[in-house]
Amino acid sequence: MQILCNNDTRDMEMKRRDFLKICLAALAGMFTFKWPSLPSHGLKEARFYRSPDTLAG
Amino acid sequence: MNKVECVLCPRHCRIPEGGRGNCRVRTNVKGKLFSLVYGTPCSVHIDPIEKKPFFHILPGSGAFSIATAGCNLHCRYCQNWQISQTNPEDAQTTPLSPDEVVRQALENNCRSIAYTYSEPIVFYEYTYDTCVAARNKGLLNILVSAGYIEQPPLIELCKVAHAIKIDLKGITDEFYQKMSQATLKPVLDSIITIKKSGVWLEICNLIVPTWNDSDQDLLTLIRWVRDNCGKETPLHFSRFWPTYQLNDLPPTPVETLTRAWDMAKAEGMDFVYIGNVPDHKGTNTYCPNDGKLLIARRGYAVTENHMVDGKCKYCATTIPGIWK
Repeated sequence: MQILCNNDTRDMEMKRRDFLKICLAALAGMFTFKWPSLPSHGLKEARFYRSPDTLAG
Repeated sequence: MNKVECVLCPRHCRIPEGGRGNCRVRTNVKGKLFSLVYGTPCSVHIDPIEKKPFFHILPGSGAFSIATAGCNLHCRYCQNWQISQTNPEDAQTTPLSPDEVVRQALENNCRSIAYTYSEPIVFYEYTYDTCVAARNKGLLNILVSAGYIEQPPLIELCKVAHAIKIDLKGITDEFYQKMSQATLKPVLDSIITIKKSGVWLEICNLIVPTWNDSDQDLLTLIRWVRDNCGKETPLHFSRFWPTYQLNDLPPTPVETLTRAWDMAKAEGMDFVYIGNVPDHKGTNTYCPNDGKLLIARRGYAVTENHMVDGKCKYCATTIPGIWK
């Protein structure tokens, strides 16, 4: 029983660390991520969107 | 911030300048929304129409099939995740204008153009313009879609499409959220709109072990299709094969597919099919009146065809579909 409890505690600790790592990676990604520059072909103005002047906020 | 709101699909992505939508292929350039994949398919093939699957359209004919990168769903079992879940600049593409697609389809004796593999909704402008060009040359436009689209663009699309196959992935919102990061209702609305528009409709349900294979789920789905689309609507049950993020599951047992087939027949559906099981009786078309074999298939090949002018040759019952 004691061993099981220790394993549980260790697993929880690992999960907590993994979660923190994911959070840190996501935060770092938020500040550094950029989409690639526009391609030279394949661009066409889309249909079905609302432009900024009709958007609030 | 100069954001734009894409209203093509129910996600309504609000995209900042330089950003992209959830589908990866629509971007905001100085306050205008642009498609990044117009005329640049990453997949171009000639497939038997049965592969889509369309079983009630020109059996045994070739479908000139195109797709671009991107998708607005993110299914854990996606068979084409290499193109659907990638950025357009990471996919190998070929420049192919709508007119060139039509020209090549005709040159290769195809009777239809299939917008397939990934999701034709996210390359909407390319799909639409190619549909118009194909119609002018007498080709059929057949779309393979998950149906996750807003009503106005769908209504426009129905004016130029001849047939749409919708993947009805499950019949609960929970399934759609967990499997595809989407919601159920817009898909059901799309199916009803397509049916009402007169565009030929076939529905496909991929049965995934432990996810959507319960009697209750199957029965609910079958009854919804029957009550909202009619018993004459072809309903395909496809076999799941482990891939992408669902490698830990076994393939769907054939018994499960047979059970779904039996349930749909018992509920009064006229045309029920089994996909991805080559020798199953559910790959054939039977006359709903006299029960005789009309179209025999093995895999994607048509081995027998006993229809004459869209009718059963034995009892002259009209079989719904597009036969010429």
